[in-house]
Amino acid sequence: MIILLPLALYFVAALLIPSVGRRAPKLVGPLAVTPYIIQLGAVAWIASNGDVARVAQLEWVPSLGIVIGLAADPINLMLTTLVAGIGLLIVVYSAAYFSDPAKKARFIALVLAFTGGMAGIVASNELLGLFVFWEVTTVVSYLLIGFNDEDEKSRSAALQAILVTASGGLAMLAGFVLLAQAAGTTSIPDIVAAPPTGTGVTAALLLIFVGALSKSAQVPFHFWLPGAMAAPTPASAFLHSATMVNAGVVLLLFLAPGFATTTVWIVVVTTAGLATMVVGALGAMQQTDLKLLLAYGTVSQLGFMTALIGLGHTGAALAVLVSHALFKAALFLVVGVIDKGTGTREIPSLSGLGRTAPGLATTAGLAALSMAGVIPLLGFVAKEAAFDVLIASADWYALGVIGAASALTVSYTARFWFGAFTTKVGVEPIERAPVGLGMTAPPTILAVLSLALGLFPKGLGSLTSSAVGEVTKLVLWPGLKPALAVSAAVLVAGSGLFVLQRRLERTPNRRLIPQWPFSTATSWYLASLRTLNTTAERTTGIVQNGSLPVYVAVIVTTVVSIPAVVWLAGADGLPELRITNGPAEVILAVVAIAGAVAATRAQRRMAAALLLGVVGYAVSGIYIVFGAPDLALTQVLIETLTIALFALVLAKLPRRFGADPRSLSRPIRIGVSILVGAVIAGAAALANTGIPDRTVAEAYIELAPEAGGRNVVNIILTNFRALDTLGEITVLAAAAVGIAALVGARSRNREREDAR
Amino acid sequence: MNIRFSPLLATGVRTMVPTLALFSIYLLVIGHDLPGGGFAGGLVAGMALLVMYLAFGERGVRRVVAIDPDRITGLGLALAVAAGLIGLVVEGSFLAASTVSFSAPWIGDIKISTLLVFDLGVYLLVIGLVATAIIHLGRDES
Repeated sequence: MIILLPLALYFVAALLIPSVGRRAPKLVGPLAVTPYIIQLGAVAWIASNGDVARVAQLEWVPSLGIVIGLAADPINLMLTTLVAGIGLLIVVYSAAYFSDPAKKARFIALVLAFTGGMAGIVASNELLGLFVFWEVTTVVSYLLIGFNDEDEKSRSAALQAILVTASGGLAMLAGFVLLAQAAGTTSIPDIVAAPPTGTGVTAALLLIFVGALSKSAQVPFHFWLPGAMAAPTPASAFLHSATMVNAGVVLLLFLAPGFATTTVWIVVVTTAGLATMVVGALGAMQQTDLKLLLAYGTVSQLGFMTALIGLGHTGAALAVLVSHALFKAALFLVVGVIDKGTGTREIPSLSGLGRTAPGLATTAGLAALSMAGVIPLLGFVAKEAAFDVLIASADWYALGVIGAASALTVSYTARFWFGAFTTKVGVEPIERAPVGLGMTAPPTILAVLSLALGLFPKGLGSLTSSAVGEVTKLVLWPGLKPALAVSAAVLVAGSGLFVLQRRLERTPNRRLIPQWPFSTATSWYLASLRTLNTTAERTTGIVQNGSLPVYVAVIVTTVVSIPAVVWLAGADGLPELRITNGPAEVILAVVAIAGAVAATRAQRRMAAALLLGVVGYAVSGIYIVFGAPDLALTQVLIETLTIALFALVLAKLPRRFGADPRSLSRPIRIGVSILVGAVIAGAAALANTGIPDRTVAEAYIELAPEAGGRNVVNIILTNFRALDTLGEITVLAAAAVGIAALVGARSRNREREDAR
Repeated sequence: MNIRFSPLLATGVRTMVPTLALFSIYLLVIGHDLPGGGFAGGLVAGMALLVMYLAFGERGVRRVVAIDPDRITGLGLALAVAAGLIGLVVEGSFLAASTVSFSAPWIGDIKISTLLVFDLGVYLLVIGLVATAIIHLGRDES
């Protein structure tokens, strides 16, 4: 209960906030922060009480054994605290960021729903439950990235993000299913306790990697993240620092205990991580937009974590995750403050902000020092721990790449801070409107946390150790060890690079960094999107050529031939068919046949419709003969209405049938008609010959009075087979919508044309 | 379709429509025991709408069905689903029938079954569909 309740509250609050926002805008803030505070309280309570149940389960599809399982183990509690804590600050910040109350309420509701999904992911211990929460974050992130929905760029960025992450999610679902099949369970702790092996498991892991790597923007799926910066800054600060993009890393963290020693894991995850770290850092170095710079930096840092997990250093990865979440959220929020205050995020236009906003510059400075990995910030402590384990396990290649990428990180960090805050020669100091405490306090808190946890890292170290189940030492002063030398070398090299790049940029058209890693991936994405669209267009062109007779022919042929083939395959010889029961039927049948034949010969549309009516009335007469007044009644009514509706439509068409070149040739139409007629007549004769097993029919008749009435037909429709009826009336409702949409759209278009 | 106003037809329709309406409700109510039911009842009501249309045009239909036909369709579907949900809550299975009986003063014992609620949903949905079809298909486009 204590585990489930806070999670549910996010979604409840998300549903309530839009309407609350309309009626009582002042209540939005208190309502929005409540779930976060309750969840943080719940985490504290669980952590301090030894005897609280650590798992909760929600039966979802019991017949398939699908449950949503949540756990409150140290790793879950730690990540939940991170998500809820930063989420709380984001909500406070958003309340100050948006001035339009309607936008504010919509945005905060989305953030709440997103937090619910993310908190669900980090607390999950069942694969399928995790997948559901995963998809919640995917869908809500689409809405958040495309929040400025009047902007075309923002919509296409959202579409790109959801296409990449949702297709990754589908691959991941397939991987989950394979993995659960191999392991015989969907419980993550059970799977990693006794990891299955084999080719199927390798395939499963590869599919899961596609999901995790695409969500965490790893090479080759890295290109969606910079585009996602179209989101409002508070959303970027939340999604792209502490939550959404971390989901992939978190999933890998969950699975690492079982699979981190397999070859496929080491090779794929490590390679993707290292490549991403370098590509992201190179991308960040060439940005002039502060927010984009941070986005590329996020890609790089996620690569760092992924590479560490690939090599099995989960403790160090978790420490990097926490430090990154804190400093990156702070920096994004600072960019939001700058953007709101000055109206720009472009480095070349920003000048003199360090003088006019010293507090903001200090906050950004602290967070930036953490990003660069400078003592005594948490970023230094985490990076030091990473270098330490890499040296201890002699992963020299990885150490080399990570070290080099860290030097790039130092360089783009310097680019960020100096670019944002220094006074530039020849650029007028920029005007800045003041922003409220609601926007300055959250980044300050995060930056101070980066400093405090850096100065006193011991508690975080023991939390991390119990979370990943191996000793992870986090210390401020590591002593004169090789790792410290690496850190120092990284700082020196990074500063040197920054100075070098500045000098190079003074001469135009000289670039230090290649552009292709991002442009190529984006062009692949666009090309595959184009291929998908053209394939869809061509398929539609073939399948739906616009000729109604073709559609009808395809439908009726399928409907009659499949049952006929199935029946013929199973039948041993033709039974003796009873064709008729008496003269009344024969007379009615002659009328029906005459009507049908005449309808095919009719030259005028209205005549054909009326002749079809003759067939219908004759058939309802046959129902009477068989003692089915319900059917007969309905048939007569339907027939009458159909003719009337035909009349309404036919009044608009030419009186006579014309030749339609797209339509089917006469022989084909005759063939289809004969086939359909023969099968239906055969089925009717078969039914007339006698149903061998009458138990169902008799049970219906017997049970009907008890089930609500004496009219068996009606009781079947409303009770015994009510679900079928519900399905059928849903189709009717869809037909009504279809009529209104298709015909209504035509007349609306006409009105619009008339108005011109 | 261009409909010319005909006093003869209008008078006939005026007397016909109440009868049709009554008959359609009759079919709905007796459906559980005798031939009829929500579908047939809805179709008869649809006939009433149709003759109204023939006599008075779209305005005639709109005068009989006071609310938007789309909403009638939606309401019907919602009622049918609601009947199913009542079954889920009361009987533990979606669409299971459940009956409530109570006695009202002067009227006597009243039995209301979710079957009737379900059938009422079908009834309204059919009316909504027919009204939509008549209004849209009959609209003059030229």
